[in-house]
Amino acid sequence: MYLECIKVRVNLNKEKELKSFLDGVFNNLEQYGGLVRFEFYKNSLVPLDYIIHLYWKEDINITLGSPLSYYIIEGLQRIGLINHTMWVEETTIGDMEYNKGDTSEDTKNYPDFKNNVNKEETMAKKDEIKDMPNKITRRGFLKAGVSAGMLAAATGLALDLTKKDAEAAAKTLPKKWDEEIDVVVVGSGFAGLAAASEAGKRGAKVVILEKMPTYGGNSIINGGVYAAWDSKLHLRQKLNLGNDSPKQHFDDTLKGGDYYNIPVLVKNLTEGSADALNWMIEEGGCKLREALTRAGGHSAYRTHTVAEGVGRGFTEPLRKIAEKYGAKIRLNNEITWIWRKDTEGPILGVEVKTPKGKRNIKIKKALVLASGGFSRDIKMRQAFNPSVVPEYNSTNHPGATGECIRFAQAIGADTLHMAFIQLYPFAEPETGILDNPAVYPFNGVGYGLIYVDKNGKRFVNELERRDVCSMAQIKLGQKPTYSIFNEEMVTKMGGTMEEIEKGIAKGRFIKANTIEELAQKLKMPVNNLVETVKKHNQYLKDGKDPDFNKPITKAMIPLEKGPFYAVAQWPAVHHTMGGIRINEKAQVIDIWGKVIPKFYAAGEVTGGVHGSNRLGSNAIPDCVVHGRIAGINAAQEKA
Amino acid sequence: MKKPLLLFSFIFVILFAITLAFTKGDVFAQAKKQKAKAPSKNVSCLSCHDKISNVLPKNHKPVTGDTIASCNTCHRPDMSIKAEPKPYASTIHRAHIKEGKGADCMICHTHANNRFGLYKSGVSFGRLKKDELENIKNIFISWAQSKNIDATHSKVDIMCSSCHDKKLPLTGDTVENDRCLICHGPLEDLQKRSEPKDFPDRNPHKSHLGDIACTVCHHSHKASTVYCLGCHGNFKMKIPGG
Ligand SMILES: Cc1cc2nc3c(=O)[nH]c(=O)nc-3n(C[C@H](O)[C@H](O)[C@H](O)COP(=O)(O)OP(=O)(O)OC[C@H]3O[C@@H](n4cnc5c(N)ncnc54)[C@H](O)[C@@H]3O)c2cc1C
Repeated sequence: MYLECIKVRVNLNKEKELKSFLDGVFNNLEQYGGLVRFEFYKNSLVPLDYIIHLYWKEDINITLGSPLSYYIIEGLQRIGLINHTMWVEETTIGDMEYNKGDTSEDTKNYPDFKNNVNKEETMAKKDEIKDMPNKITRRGFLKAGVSAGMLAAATGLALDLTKKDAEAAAKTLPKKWDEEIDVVVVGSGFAGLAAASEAGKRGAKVVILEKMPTYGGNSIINGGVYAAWDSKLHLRQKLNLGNDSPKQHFDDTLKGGDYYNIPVLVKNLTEGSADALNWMIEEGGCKLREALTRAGGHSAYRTHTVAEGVGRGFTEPLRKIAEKYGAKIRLNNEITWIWRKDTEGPILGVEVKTPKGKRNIKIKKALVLASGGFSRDIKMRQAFNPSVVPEYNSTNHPGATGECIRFAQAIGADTLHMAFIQLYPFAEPETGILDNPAVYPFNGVGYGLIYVDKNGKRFVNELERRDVCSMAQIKLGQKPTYSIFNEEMVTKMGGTMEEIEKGIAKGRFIKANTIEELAQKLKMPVNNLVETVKKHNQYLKDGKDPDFNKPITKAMIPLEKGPFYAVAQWPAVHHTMGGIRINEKAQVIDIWGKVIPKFYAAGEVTGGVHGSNRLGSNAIPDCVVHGRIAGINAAQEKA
Repeated sequence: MKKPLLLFSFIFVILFAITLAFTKGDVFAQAKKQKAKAPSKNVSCLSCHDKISNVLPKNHKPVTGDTIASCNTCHRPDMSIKAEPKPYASTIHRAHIKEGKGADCMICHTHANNRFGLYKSGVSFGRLKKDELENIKNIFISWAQSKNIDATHSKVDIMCSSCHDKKLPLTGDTVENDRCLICHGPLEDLQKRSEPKDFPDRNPHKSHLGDIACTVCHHSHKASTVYCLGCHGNFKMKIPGG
């Protein structure tokens, strides 16, 4: 017999719709020949998580998923399914009779459906499966192998996994360890460095493993802007920029993430960000610019800029703190597996590829996974969000790949929001990097900067969110597009003429004294661009944009006075909001909703903090705050 | 056509000798049996060269004997591991690799009980396992004739120990920036030299990634790679000299 499992997560409180949809399916099961049994569980620990079991007769070929399961998934998508995993197992769960059951709320076939979550019953169900002799169930897999590796198969993306494939994926626990370490941190970005600092401070022997030959990942190349409602410098109060509070930051973050965010994690971020900033200033010597901006999606002036203007201004202080507390960074050390004996026990260690060969490190206290996002992992991007096509460039460093997420899945870790991938709409078109000129299109829209396509025509409301601006460009099908602005806007949007000069020298900014000349230099139909600018100038005067409904504000400057500038732009993959599921203590949660002992994760490798869409400047506080939490808790684990 | 066969004396002379021994596994067994004593008849230079005097530099004083031991007496192995050119060791190794005359490592070197030494010199360079010995042999071949930085160094008589300031580099060993900068520094000068005229802030030795290892880009025993290109694919950057 085959068991087909569909794991689903639904959108907020769609439970009622879900149930009625499944009732509908359930009532028509007879039409699906070969179906033996149908079960439906609610995950009693992770609200919104459900699992559907379909038992099929042996002679039915469903290795690639049955039509019924596709039907179910499609239906669930309509009512707000946001993530699903499906897999097929061989099983001999006895020749139970197909039992249609009744569909009343108390039905046995819905053992855990209603919110009167019956944990015991769920557990009993599992045990019953476990205790049946001579059959292969998911548990059976786990028992048959020596490590929890084969689960990779079960939770993976593939649909055609049979028992044989699953076992092939198993890895044998090492016979001996090459080394013992209290706390192993994977990744040397904001999250990893913060975790290492806190764990080291509490006396743990800490090693940071970093696969790249340089430290810092995405963190060291980032834009250096940090959202916090306050800091010891009290810039907002000093510069008289209005009010703010952790609650207001919390509300903005949820709104910006379309309420997909896990609230307790957002709470950590918004309540911990000011303290984390002070910590980097006090212990790490971090310096901030005397300015505060209001970034997209934020309702207050809370975005701090580090003096250096790049993430290095934060990673260097963090590295200093971590090293002060004895943490060692090992570059060129790549994690290639996470060791766990079974899906109940703790993390045991990691397998590492080093310049001197493979090493197995035994972990005494805990593993902290801070391996960053997967923007550069085309295969993983495709698996979860095929719309983010391989042709996209990325703003990320080359090491931003998802292998650690796969290893974590393989030993039972749950993931969420994997399809939520953010594009930065204005990256440098050729390489996708987010260089200094690439910031202007983002900062200038409030002051009247416009976007035009290769034909010199506007194509979107420039004040739209990142995802909308990106999609609008992609739909044009003509790369690149351009931002047009004039000199008057430069300082207002936080730029400098020095940056402009540098950008011109590099060929990034194109300068012209008239719009006609600019169009010529951009090889654009001159009349079109002239017409577009003229129309837009008029819209600013009228206070109305009939073309794209942009809300016109007084701060917007018409493009009348030169010199004018253009900068080419195109979307590039920027941030992966999804990742490993953690709780408020940064402990990794498994697919059954349980804590995986001795396993923590923080930073972009985790999912849920930012929901469907990360607000700019929220990532650094997320990484530092959760990194610290992970480090503190990791150090307190028993060796 | 033959380069002068100078006296042996370097730490890394050792390494070279290894070059040749390794095609046959039984060399080890043999070496073991002989317990680092006479490495066998192979040890005579005359098995390849007609006359020792043919391979000596012009004004070299006459040499008696026909093994490396004759050289050792004057050219003592240099255990100083200084970052500087080592012409004697460099020349004698390079000459034999280039000519490929089958001068296996064990003609001059000894390898017994995993100890690596030089025939009749009384010197041991340390422990070396068989696979590491094989690795060093291959690196020596690269050093003598590849397009990598090791060959660039070979041309100016920089031997293994000039960079690896410890004995017998093993797989995965790296070289710290300070060592490179003894010859290529100070850093400020290096940065000045490498500053691009067109885009001064694209200076590869002034990375926005902070203090990074020279070895991020410069690999000695394999092709170097411009790390910057991992993100800045449109930069026109090349590493001169391999
Ligand atoms: C160009 C750019 C600009 C940005 N600007 C901002 C900004 O201004 N403000 C803001 O809040 N956010 C910004 N972000 C987002 C933010 O920088 C990232 O989300 C954040 O740096 C992630 O930090 P992290 O510690 O989770 O991961 P990272 O900093 O990416 O570090 C993870 C590390 O783990 C390593 N690793 C991965 N796999 C393995 C393995 N198998 N073994 C060993 N090591 C491994 C990686 O090599 C990497 O070094 C920006 C991002 C980019 C790319």
